[in-house]
Amino acid sequence: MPCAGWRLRRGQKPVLFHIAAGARIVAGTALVAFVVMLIVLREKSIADAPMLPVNFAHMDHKSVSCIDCHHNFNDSTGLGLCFECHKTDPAIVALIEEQFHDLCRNCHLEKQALAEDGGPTRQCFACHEGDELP
Amino acid sequence: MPTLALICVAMLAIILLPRGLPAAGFLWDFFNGLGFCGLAVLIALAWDSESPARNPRLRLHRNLAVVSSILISGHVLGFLVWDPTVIEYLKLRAPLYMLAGIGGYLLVVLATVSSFPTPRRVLYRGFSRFRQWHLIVSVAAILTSVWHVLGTNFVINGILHSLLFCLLVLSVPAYAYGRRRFTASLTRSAPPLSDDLADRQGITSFAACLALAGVYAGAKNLCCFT
Repeated sequence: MPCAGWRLRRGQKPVLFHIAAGARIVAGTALVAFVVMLIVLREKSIADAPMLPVNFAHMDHKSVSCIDCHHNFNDSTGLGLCFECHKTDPAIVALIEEQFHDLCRNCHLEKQALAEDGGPTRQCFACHEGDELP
Repeated sequence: MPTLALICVAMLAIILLPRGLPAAGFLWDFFNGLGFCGLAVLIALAWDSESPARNPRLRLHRNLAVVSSILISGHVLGFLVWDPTVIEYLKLRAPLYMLAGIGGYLLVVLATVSSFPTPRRVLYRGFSRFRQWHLIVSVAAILTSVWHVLGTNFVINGILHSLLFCLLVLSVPAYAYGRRRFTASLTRSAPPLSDDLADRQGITSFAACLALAGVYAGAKNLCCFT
């Protein structure tokens, strides 16, 4: 059923009808443009944002295989630090939050499910503070 | 009130199912409980959402909307104050499910504030236009909230758990809307409420939701639900 606002109402002048229709089209286009702009800004913002400080103590993770995190030493994708690829490669930069949170959190959750001390799982501040330990 | 109580208890029971994720500290779970109670109130509001001429409980509907807005504000502000790093989730670069949560919160506040007579007259050209937009904003608020809950994957875990949650959250408004539209009014037969009683029921609901969020957080942390 067509929207009532798109029909010429009794007594309405055709010129006013066309102005109103034009205004709606402009408003709709502006809304779409705004959403597209937000998407572009969001992607740029993810790439440009500095990394949050992360408290990762290697000594606390002795039981974890190095390759679990440093996969690049095994699959020939480079020899740098994690962030050098994950923060600069346009193909994966948008996934950085999801990938790193899944890597850390899922492992901590698995440990917690086994009633072991698995480290933080929910509180942001528990991990996102400056490095203290080697 | 019984509808709200049933929905709140059913929602928290689904969350506390054995498949639920481990506890994360009393305060974290309490703020999360506030969010879930806010969503439960939002779902309950769909039950008695009828025109003023047919709904003798309109003031209670408005009071519960305020309760839902306060509970969800508590969910947002509680996390922000307790863990300021959460502010990262308010930025444009936050994951989409977090942006959906913020959007849902703003929609709930918009739906609530715009239903008071003065803002309503300013924002809408007539009552039918208000009702049309109020329905759209409310449905959008529920859907974005569901996206937020499922996307975070903090509490709902696995396909079956997600389906159970969606079944509760989406079936109640769908049933209420369908029954009103195709068969009969859900609230016409309900006894009318005085303003005083509606206000008291609103305050009682708020206190009950706070207590329920506390019980949920306590149960999750003390009983080690995993």
